[in-house]
Amino acid sequence: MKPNQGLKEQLKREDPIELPMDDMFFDKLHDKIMADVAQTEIKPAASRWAKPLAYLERKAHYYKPSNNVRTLQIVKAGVVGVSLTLGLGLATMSLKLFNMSSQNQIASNRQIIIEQALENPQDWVEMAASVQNDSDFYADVVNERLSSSHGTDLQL
Amino acid sequence: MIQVEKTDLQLVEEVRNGQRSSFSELVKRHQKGLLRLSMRFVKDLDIAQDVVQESFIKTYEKLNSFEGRSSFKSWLYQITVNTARNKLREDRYDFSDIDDVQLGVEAQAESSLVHRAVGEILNVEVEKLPFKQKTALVLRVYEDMSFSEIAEIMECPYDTAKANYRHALLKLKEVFEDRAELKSWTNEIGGFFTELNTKYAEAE
Repeated sequence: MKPNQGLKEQLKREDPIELPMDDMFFDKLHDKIMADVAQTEIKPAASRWAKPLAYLERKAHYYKPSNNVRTLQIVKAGVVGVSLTLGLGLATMSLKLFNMSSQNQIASNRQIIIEQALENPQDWVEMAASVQNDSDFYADVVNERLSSSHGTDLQL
Repeated sequence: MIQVEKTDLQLVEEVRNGQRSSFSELVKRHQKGLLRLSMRFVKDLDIAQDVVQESFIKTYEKLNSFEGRSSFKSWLYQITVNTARNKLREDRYDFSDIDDVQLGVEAQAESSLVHRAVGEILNVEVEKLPFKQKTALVLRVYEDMSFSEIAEIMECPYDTAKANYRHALLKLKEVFEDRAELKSWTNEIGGFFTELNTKYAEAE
């Protein structure tokens, strides 16, 4: 006799399960099962994802939050908050980028104009004079300086 | 002429090929074991019959999904354990309480009474075990299954099945150590503790 045999027998002796022993009972059960089987069809083999999906469905069912309405409201508020923050953030960032690129562009344009003016002052003066209007203060100043210095030491 | 009994797998193949009567043979072969197993979980003959019936229907429906990686019996028992567990979750059956143990009977039957009470306490303690531990214990002790078979039925690794069984035994052992009446009874019946310890050591 194995050393653990006693324990098994002991637990079995205390077994509270009492099954009906007559064949009629099991014949009846068998017939009941087979009657159901007669109305059932064998399903095609399930996909390999069927089991994980069933598991996830079951989990989702059993671990559903107790206060659904409140949870939904919290989730909605969270989504709206995050969307607003993202929207505002993006708008601010675009504005800053636009300002930075404008300033760079202005500086670069000024540099080009100065270089052109230094290379060929007479042409520049003529061009500036042709588009000059009453408020063109800079053109006037340049023009004056050029005429006083005979076009040799142009300074803006 | 000697007629060789067909194996479960042969019968399954016949059912798959459209021979529904072969399933009848499978039902006859396993219904008793499944009813006994279901009774351990749901504790009610009518509900246990429903569990068995439902399990066989599920088995029939899913027969094409049976790949033969485990034995048909293990697969069938797995479906039954899951069906019984779902039934318990759905209905939340009321199990017998430890207070229900009655001790007011004639003095003449005292010995057998103590024995019966202890048996009931033992069963109540088995009922209190977590589902996985109880399943491992039931399959090992009452169904005489190997740990490999238990692992297949419980859909877990071999070591997990063994650990569940070991924890179940450990909990029962703690109960026996805590309760004086159980302790004296185990002394009377001779070395129940020793056996439990041996069993525990073996599982380790």
